[in-house]
Amino acid sequence: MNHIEILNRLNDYADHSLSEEDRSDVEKHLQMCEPCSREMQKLDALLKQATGLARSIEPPHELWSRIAPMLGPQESKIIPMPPSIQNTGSRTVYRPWARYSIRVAAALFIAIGGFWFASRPSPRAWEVARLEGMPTIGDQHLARDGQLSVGDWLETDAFSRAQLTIADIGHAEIGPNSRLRLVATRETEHRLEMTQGRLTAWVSAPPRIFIVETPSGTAVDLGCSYDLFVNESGNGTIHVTSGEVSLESDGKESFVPTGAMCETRRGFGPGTPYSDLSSEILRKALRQFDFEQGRPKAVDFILKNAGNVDAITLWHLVQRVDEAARETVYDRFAALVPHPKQVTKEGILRLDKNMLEDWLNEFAARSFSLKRLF
Amino acid sequence: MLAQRLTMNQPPAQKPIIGLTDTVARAQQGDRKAFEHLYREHVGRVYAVCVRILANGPKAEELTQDVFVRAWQMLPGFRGEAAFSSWLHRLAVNVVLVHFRTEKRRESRITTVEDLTSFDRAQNSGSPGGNVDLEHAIAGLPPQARTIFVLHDIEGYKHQEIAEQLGLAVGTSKAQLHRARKLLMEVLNQ
Repeated sequence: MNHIEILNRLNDYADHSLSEEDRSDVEKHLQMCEPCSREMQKLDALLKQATGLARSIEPPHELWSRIAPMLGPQESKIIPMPPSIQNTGSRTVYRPWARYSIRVAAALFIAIGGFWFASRPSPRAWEVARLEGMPTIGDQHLARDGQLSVGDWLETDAFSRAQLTIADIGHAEIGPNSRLRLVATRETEHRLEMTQGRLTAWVSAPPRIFIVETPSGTAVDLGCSYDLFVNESGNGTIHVTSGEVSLESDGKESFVPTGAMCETRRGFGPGTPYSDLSSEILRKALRQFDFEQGRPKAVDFILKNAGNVDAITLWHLVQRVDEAARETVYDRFAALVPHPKQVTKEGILRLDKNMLEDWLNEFAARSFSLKRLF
Repeated sequence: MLAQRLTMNQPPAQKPIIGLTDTVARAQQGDRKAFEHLYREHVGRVYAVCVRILANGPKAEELTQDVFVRAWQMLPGFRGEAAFSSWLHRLAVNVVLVHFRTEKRRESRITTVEDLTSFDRAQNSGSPGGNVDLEHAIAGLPPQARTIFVLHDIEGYKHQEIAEQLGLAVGTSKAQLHRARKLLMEVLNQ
C-alpha cells in the first residue's frame, strides 16, 4: 500500500477491521511516515476521548413527574403479529380501451359480478411489509411487517421502502420519502391519501375501486398498474404501465392510458397527458400550456412538434384549447389519426362527448396494430 | 440484526431469565414504584443517547419521556433474553432514530449547536472539561454523521447494526463515520 492508501485505511486500522497482512503494512508505514503517524495519533486521541465520554447524562429532575402521569395500562401483548404479507396472484392487465368501452365494461362487470364482489369480506386493515430501511406506521417502526388501518399514516424515509397489500385487489410498492394514509377500505372503495412520495400499484379490480388522493389531483384506477410520484410540494407525475387511470381534480379530468404520463400541479390539477415516447420539448411546451403563461404560443409549438405518439395529447388538447384554436388542433389531430365515419368535424368542434369517445376508441384500437401509438 | 432484535413481535423465545430481575418482574406486574426505581437507575443512559443523537436538550427530554412510557407499556412483553438495560437502551435508540428521521424528513427542526444545556449539565456532573469540547463538536456534526459517530464510537454498535437500523449500506455507514471523525479532528485540533 502506498502513502495515500495507508492514510485512507487508518480508520479501518483503528477499528481493527484490517487483515493481519494489511495491519502489518500500516504499522510499518506508520513507523516511517511522520504525517501518517501524526494523523493516527489524532485519531487515537479522538477515539479515546469518545470512549471516555460520560455514559450517563442526567436529565432535569422533574422529568419523572412528567412521565408518571402518562403511565397508563400496560399492554398484555405488545404488537400483535400480523399475518405475513401475501401478494395477490397474477394481475389482470387491461388493454387500453377507450373511456366509453371502459364504462360499458365496468357496468357489465358490476352488473354480472357485482353481487359476488360486494359480498366478499374486505380486510379492515392492509398488510404492510418492510422492504428496506425502517418504514413507520404511525409512530411505530416497522421492523418486518405490520398492518395499516383506516386513519393510519405509513411513512418511509430516504432509505426505506415498503410493500402494501391493497385489500384483496392488488398491491403497491411504497418508495422512499413517502407519506400516505389509509382513508377508507370497503368493498366498493379503497382510498389512500398520499401527500408525497412514490407509489407503484398493481390493481386487479373493477374501475373506480382503488383511488389515491394527492394534493394536486386524485388518481382513479380504471384497472391497471401505474407509478405515481408526488414531490414535497404536492405536485405529481403518473406513468401508466398497463390499463388506464383517470386523474381528477375540481371537475377537471385527464385520461391516462397505457404508456402515457401526466403531471399534476397544486392549484392547477391534472395537466395534459403525453406519451412516454413524447419528446422533451413537447413535454416542456405542455407544462407551459397547463401550468404557466403563454398558452397560445405553447399550442402552436405543440402542434408543430406533435407526431403519431402524441395522439393522446391532441385528443385532450382539442377539448382544452380556447374555442378559437380548437379547429387548428382538430386539423392536426385528424391528419395524424383519421376519425371514424360517425365522427364529424362539427361534432368535435362543439365537443360532442360521444364523438370524442368514438375518436378515442378509434386510435386506441389502431394502437393495437401499431403496438404503441401512445 | 438490531432491528430484528428490537422488534417486539417475535415469536416467544426459550426460557430467558437473564434480564428478569425482581424489580423488572414487579414492574411487569404493574408496580409503578418498581418502574420508578428502574427509571432512576437507567434514565441517565437513555437521556445521553437521546441528547447526543438529537443535539437538542428539550427534544431529548421529550423523547426520554417517550422511551419510558413505551417501556412501561411494553414491559409485559419483555422476556428477559438480555439485560433490561440493553433492552431499554435499544428501545431508546430505536425511538430516537425513528423520531429523528421523521423530523429530518419534514424539515421541521434543524438541530443547532447552541442548544447544549444538557452538555453543561454533563460537565457539572463531573465529566472532564475537555469532553465538553468534544460534545459540542459532536453536536455540530451533520445529522447522519453525528448519529453514526454516536452509535459506533460512543455506544459501540457495529456498522452492520447501524446500517440495518438506518437503512444504509454498510459502506455508507463507514464512510459517514470516517467523515465524522475527520470533521471532529479538524474542529478539536484547531
